[in-house]
Amino acid sequence: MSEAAKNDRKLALLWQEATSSPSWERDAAAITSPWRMGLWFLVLNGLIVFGLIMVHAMFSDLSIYDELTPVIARMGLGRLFCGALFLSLSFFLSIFVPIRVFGVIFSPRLGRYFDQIVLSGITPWRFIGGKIVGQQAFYLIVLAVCLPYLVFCISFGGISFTEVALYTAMIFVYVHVLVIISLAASMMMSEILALPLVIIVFTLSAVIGLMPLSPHPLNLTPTASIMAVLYEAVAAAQGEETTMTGLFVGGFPGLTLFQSHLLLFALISFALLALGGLAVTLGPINSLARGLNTFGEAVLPGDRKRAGWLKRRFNLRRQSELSFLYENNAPAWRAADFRRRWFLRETVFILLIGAALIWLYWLFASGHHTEAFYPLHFVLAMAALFLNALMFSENWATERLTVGRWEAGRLNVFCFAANSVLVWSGFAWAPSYWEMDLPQLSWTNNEAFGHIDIQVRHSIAAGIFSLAGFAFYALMRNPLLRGYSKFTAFLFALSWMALISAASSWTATGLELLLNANRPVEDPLKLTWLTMGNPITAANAVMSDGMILSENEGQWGVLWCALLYTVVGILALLVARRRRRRLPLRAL
Amino acid sequence: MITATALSKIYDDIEAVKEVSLDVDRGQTLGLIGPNGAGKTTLLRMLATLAKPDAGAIRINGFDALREPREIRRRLGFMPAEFGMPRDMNIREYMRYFACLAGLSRSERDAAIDQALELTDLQGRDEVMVSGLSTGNKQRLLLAKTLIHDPELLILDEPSSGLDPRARVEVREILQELAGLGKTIVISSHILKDLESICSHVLIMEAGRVAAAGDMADLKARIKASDHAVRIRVAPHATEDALARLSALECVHQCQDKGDGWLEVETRDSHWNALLLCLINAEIDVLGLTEQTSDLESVFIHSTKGQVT
Repeated sequence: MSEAAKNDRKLALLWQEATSSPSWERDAAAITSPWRMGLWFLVLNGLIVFGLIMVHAMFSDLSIYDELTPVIARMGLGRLFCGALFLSLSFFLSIFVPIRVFGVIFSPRLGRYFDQIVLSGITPWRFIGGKIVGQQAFYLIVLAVCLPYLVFCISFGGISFTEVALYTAMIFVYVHVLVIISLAASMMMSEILALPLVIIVFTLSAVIGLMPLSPHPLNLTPTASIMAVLYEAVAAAQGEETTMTGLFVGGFPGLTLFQSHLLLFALISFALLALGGLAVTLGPINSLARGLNTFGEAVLPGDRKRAGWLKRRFNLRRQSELSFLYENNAPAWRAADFRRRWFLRETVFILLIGAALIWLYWLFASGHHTEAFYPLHFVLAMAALFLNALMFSENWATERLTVGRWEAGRLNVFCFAANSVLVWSGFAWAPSYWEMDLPQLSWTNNEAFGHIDIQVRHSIAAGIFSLAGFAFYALMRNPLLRGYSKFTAFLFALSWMALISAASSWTATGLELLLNANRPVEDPLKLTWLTMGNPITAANAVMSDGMILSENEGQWGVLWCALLYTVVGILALLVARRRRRRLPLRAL
Repeated sequence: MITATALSKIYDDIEAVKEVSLDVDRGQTLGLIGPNGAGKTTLLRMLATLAKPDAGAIRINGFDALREPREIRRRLGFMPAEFGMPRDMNIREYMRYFACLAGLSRSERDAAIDQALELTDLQGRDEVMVSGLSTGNKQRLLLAKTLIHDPELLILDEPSSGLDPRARVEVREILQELAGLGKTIVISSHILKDLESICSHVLIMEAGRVAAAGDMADLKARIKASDHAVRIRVAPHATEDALARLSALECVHQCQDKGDGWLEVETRDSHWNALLLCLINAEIDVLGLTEQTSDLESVFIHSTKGQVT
């Protein structure tokens, strides 16, 4: 059999698995029930008509009539209505697709028949994949409702059939992104948290897409692409171009604003589909703590003394039950679990860091709006370190989980350390590598950079963040080695970090007040370096106003910050190490 | 078919199952008996791969329950004591859903569903909503669902609990039919009469441990061999005299007045001639004599001490 034929066969099997899924059959039956179809028709029609009325209301506003007329003349009425239609759809789907999808695990768990599903031996992909297929039917209903309106829009003129097909394809992709991300979120966290989270993130992104912005990483929905057509028409009507220097911030070089948004939406959708698909396929890492080795129960030491509902530990039961479902994957698949899981996570992390740096470069390479460079630079570096800590930490139940000679805890620490170096080097060296005009990027006194090389400053600032990240990770490991919730551990570490940096500032202020009691205010003791226990303050000081390395207190500040977080990190790691030694090794 | 070795399971600080070992051959029907809290359900859930033992090993049909749970799940049908059902399905939809879960192709499904529904006497009720079924019919439907993929091994946790006497008898008949079909069945129940008529083997648990195990007939015989009971009826006015005379006999272990002239005599061996001779010599009229046979209940009472974990 040729390679192509083998691939075709694999795809056919995958499709067969998904279409023979009980979730798909149930979903299809639910969607095609007459009253539900009627309900969807009513809701969708209502929403579309509402969107069109909004557009119509715009025309009735005489105060902007003169400004609108040339815009509509350029766009065409059909395109405007079509845009309104697809905008309405985007918002509708952002809310209703997650709601439709979230029950896949939640309903059988709530109905107490999830154990019967698990015992059928069904693979997670076959069970969950059915929901993805089920969305085709939902999408077809949406299209069927829209069809008369689309014909109506095309008949108005200004929009071609190809453009309508493109919008339809965008919505099709968007539906799948929503499905996959909703499914992935419901695998990774409680559905009660995941549902509002997904709806809020995508609705917010849809709202941001309405704003006249250049392509940005929050372009998760088609709204930005749809609105770009309007903004291009507005700019053209005013005789301007949609470039960085024009009225609106522009698109990628050589592309229109619409094309840029479309390209970015396609790229982000592809990444989200891939990420979500991987998350669903891999599932949460199996929890094999002794207490959780029982389906539908979470009985841990001390539970007998707990009262009523507290005994149930819903979050752990869910985690445990899902691990029983994922056991239905073939043994060979499970044997490669670690390699696959950590390799993919690492790849995703590296790709994200790369994308963040490229975006940073693209935003500021032209030399415009450079005042935003450092805040964004810092925010991204911090976000990368938080993400690193979140992605590469597990709770005590999985800390010493092994597959062959691989151990989950060790893999995590190794990946975290390697990624920290990567983040440090990326954020310290990438701007110089791209030969960005760095001195101009400082928002204050460029001369104050003095004799210290800008590259050294970058390295020091990124180094401060990396050390703080190390301390944060070490602090997070301690509660994780005692409990189950990564979120709780994250909050714990965050609180400690806030406390440490605040304590440093309080000490400075206290000493200042104490020692300065008999001195004139004009002659402070200059203990400001102590405030640099906060890594943001320290990095800001290094990069911005040059009070720093050339002056003594500045040097002390950086050293103090580095020392503080190194000591905190090492102490926390030593405590975590002791705890870790007491955990038994467990094979997956 | 099933080989479990030194299984232990600890919940919180309670050892629910302690070093339990069992062997079930293909086609055998094993009855699991024990007081509440004896560890029966935990043991069944471990066998059904819904709980992982903290110590010990389980092999079913040659597959390791810890390493290859999916292979075992495909071959077994598990009926839990407590279960839920989807609310928005009728019987046919429910069965189709689980037939699809079990991986039956579309062409196989209808025949398998009809067969399972017929076996559980639910045929002709396809359109009845699952949520509206009585407890007995829900039990039957669950049993039908359990049988849909024609499993080699059935693990049933108290299938008759909560049923009225008629439904209980019907479920018992279904199980007898399944046992007759050569299925390997492990069943737990508090209704010992039911088990006695279905099971070929018994495992009695108490406080997480095995109190007694083996072939049903062997266990009964063992009890019979250790204690022989006989009921003798004498003329009511001579009851006291007879009781005193029989109690004085060396071969008599215990003698009790059961009223209306009946005396229950436990002997260490079958010394019935000696009993009769003693009464006849004392000129006491013997009106009747019956041998007390040992049933599963007496096996259970004899094997357990009333301990609870």
